[in-house]
Amino acid sequence: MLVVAPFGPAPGKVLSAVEEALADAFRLPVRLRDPLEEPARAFTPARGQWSSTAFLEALVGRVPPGAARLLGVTERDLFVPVLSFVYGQAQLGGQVAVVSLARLRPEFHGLPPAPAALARRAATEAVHEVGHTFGLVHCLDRRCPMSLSIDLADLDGKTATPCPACGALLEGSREMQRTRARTEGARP
Amino acid sequence: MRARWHILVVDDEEAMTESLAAWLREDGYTVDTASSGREAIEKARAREYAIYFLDLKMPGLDGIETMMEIRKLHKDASVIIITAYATVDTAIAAMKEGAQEYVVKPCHPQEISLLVERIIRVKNLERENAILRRKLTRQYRFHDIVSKNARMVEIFELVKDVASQRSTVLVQGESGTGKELVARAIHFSGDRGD
Repeated sequence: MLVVAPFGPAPGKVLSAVEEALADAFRLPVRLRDPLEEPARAFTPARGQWSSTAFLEALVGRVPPGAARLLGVTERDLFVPVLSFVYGQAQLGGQVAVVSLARLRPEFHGLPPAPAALARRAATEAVHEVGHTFGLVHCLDRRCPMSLSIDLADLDGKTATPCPACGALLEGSREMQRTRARTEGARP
Repeated sequence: MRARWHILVVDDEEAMTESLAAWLREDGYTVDTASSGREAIEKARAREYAIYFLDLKMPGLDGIETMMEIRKLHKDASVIIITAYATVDTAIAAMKEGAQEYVVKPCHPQEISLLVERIIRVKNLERENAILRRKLTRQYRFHDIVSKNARMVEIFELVKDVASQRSTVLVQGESGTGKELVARAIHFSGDRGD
């Protein structure tokens, strides 16, 4: 089971799109949980941004029993020290990941709001970050959600469905097989 | 496959090292880290890395000093200097000492990924070129033309003499006598082959 948890309020349509995309991409049940309190220490005044690593650390101890992965969704603009920003971050081969809606919003770039575009982008990035937790690395197929997004044009060119190569790696991975076995075992 | 390329990230700030290493691992590369110039040199002694990311300002050996030591071990090392203190002088100094690139942190995510991709693409081409050259040279060296015939042995000696000269050579003979083989042997036995 994959669990999605917003840090504070998040648009319902965005969370629904994220749930649906994750369920389709990973063929696992997805549950939305109650909002989490965002980690105040994540804010870095010198940068005016929020530490993505601090969000991951806040998620690590909160993976619900029986959940394979926990994805946090935040409105905050995230960064890692060496980069100017990130759309999200994941523990590569780990259990937690986080996605930021900040730069996915057209408003951030001076454009009019577009809720449908925001939902689509959030869904794609959610699949990207959760894909990393299953060990997938960046893909060269520009339409694959695992490809690196340089800008919104790249993001908008991606689908939320892993390409055949990434799909095969995912299904063939021991981690996914273990996850499916646990999920099947947990079914009544 | 990117996993076969090893990258070393060196920075005395663990948060910087780990964030860059994590980014590169997401790109599919195998990444080692070091927290000082000395540690980086020890790791470079143990293996040759495709790319070295070196922070400019570190206690002890700085990025440029570390780069120079690594170059003694691996003369073709691809080094990227990273720094938060961007000045034209430091950029020039780094490039003069042989850094391949100079990156100011924090940088756009695209910058790191495209830079590494470009360097790896060139390394792939260099590797392929070296393999093809070795195959070609092996195929056409005159040592591989087998003969005990006295006249052929004379020709082999002539090929050896001519191969070391820079003059234009005309090879004459009837059809089927091996003119092309001799021409290639002259080419690959001397400087022309390079």
